[in-house]
Amino acid sequence: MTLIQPQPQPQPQPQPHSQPQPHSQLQPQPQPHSQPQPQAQPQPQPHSQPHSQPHSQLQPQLQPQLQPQPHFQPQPHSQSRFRSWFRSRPGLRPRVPFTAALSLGVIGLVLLWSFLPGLFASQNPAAGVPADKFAAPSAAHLFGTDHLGRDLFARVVHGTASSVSSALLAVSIAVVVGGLIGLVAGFVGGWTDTVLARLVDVLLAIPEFLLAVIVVSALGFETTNAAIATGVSAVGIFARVMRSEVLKTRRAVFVEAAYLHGGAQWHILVRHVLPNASRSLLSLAVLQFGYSILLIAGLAFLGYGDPPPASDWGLLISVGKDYPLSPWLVYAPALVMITTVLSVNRISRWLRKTD
Amino acid sequence: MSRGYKIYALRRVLQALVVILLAYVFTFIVISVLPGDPVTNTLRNPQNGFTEEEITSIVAYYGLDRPVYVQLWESLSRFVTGELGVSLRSGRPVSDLIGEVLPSTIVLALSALAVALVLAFAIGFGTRYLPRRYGQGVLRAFPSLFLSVPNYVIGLLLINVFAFQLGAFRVIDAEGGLATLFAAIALGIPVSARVAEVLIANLDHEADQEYAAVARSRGLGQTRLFLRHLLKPSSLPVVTVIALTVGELLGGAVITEKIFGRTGIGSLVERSVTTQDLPVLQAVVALAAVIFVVVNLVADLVYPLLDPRVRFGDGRSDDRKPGGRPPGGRPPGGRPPGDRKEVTA
Repeated sequence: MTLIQPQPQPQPQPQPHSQPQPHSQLQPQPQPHSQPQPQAQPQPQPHSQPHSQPHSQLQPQLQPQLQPQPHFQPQPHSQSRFRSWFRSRPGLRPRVPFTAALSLGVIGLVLLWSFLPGLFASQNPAAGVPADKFAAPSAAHLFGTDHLGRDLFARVVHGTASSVSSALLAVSIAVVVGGLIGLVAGFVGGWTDTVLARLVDVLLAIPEFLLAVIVVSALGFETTNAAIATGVSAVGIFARVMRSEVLKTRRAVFVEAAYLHGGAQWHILVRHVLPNASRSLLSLAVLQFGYSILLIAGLAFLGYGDPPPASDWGLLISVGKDYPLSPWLVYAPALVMITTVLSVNRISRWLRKTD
Repeated sequence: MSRGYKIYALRRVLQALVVILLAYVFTFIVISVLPGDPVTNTLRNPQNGFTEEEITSIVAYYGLDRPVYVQLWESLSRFVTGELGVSLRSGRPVSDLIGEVLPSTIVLALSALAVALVLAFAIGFGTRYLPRRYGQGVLRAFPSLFLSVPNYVIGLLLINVFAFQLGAFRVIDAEGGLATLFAAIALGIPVSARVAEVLIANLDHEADQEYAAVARSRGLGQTRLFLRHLLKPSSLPVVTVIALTVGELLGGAVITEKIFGRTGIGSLVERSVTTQDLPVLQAVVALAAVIFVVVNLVADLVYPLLDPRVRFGDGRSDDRKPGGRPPGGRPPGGRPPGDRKEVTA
């Protein structure tokens, strides 16, 4: 906060004018608080805590990492930076930790399952051989068979697409709606901010799962609706994170410099605020993707998703629990789901670290 | 009890009241405005065999043909006076229905919280005590693992192993002590992940402080260092996290109670969703919001009293990051905000 307070004494020290500084040419008198930042030495972040809600419901595990370093080179949000996430920063050897690589492999496999299920599971997920019912896992049936003699592996693989795409839908809703709310609240500020902050408080005050349950029961029991409900229940978190990121960036010195350069609102929004906020939003979105898989599976488990011919992971677990003598009916889909979510969480943590 | 604290407390209480009322309005809107009105859907279900006139009269009887804002206003004014309406299915007052099942859920939620805290502190202690190479890495992976395992999988696993194979408890006797314990474990493990994560981060931070180094140089062992010096400052932020997990405990109770066959708020929700019993659903969600808001309010109000580092009255110092640093406290390892002036001047 002290960073943006105008400092009364002029700054007599020589500024490195290596780069053209338009405003200093137009106005030669010393600027109180818009000294050009030499790009090589980033200023420490302002130690201000932007969000004013005493209890903010960010996911606690995000807390220590929620301070992205605002990058001080106001470069456009271009493809090169996107690539640099995956390559690692210049000067550093690109390296992916073993577990993160393994997680990427798992996610790759899961994506393949959802796009090309027939390639991995040759058996029909809907038609069973009643003589083979409750067969334990074996070479012929990797995950065993269920009460109708259907191959469980085929059912899990064919259920992947629905489970993954619904989680994607949920995250998209949360990111778009929550991000917009947070952006408007943080950027416009004032009266709008107060109103939106109360709305977000309400979304956060209703327990996530209950919120999803009432939304899905209002919309009707379907996997798509379960995904929408899950997305709605996560809007609050994204709005809050986005708002705090926007506030943090808005107070940064380089944004102030951009204002003094005569930058328009939208220019600052698109070039400075959004790129900076998008980083922590990305890792939160990845984390939320894993969480959405679990939440949608929970709704499917209660029967609020598509009815049984479908084979969503949560539904498989729910059906399997009725046959305690064949525990693989629960463990196999559960294991697939847990492995997927663990991998997603690992990738989210890795993304946060590489920032 | 400074003046600043009183103003802060008053503001927080008012804020909480507004949030509770808005939460009620929000649920009302979600339930009544969204397409697919459950009441008429049920009435028009051919299985129930209502004629068109009957449907109109029933809808008129419950006042559902009036504009939404009139219904909302009436519903809200009843809610403010503590009246929660009548169940559409059983015809009994909703408050009775909730009152019957609330104790069971409170027992479950509190035991789950206890399980979560024990687990989290055990993990936190382990990360300081175990040798860095062997035990620590595994322990540090635990929160992430716990977050990835949904409570219904844990519950089914526990039932399968302990009830069916070992016979430790009987599934039929759902409210028995051991059955409650296992239900609490299923509900508590995902919650413990959140607590443990914050605790580990705080312990790591506190262990790097100078006073910890001094204590170590005085020859204190890990156990004493943990108990005497690290535990207290690290567990204060946990208060906030606990308050935040209330929602998870209440929401998770829906599935946990179903799996373990308990009757509680969760199973009441499940039943009301299946039977489209809207007044019950609306009341339970409002109740959950009230509990969440009140618990968080208490946590926020108690926190400054627990932590002497918290200062009030200097600008925006009542801001707080949950589970992070205390309000007004200096960022760890950072310079105080005033330092920069001297550097540049």
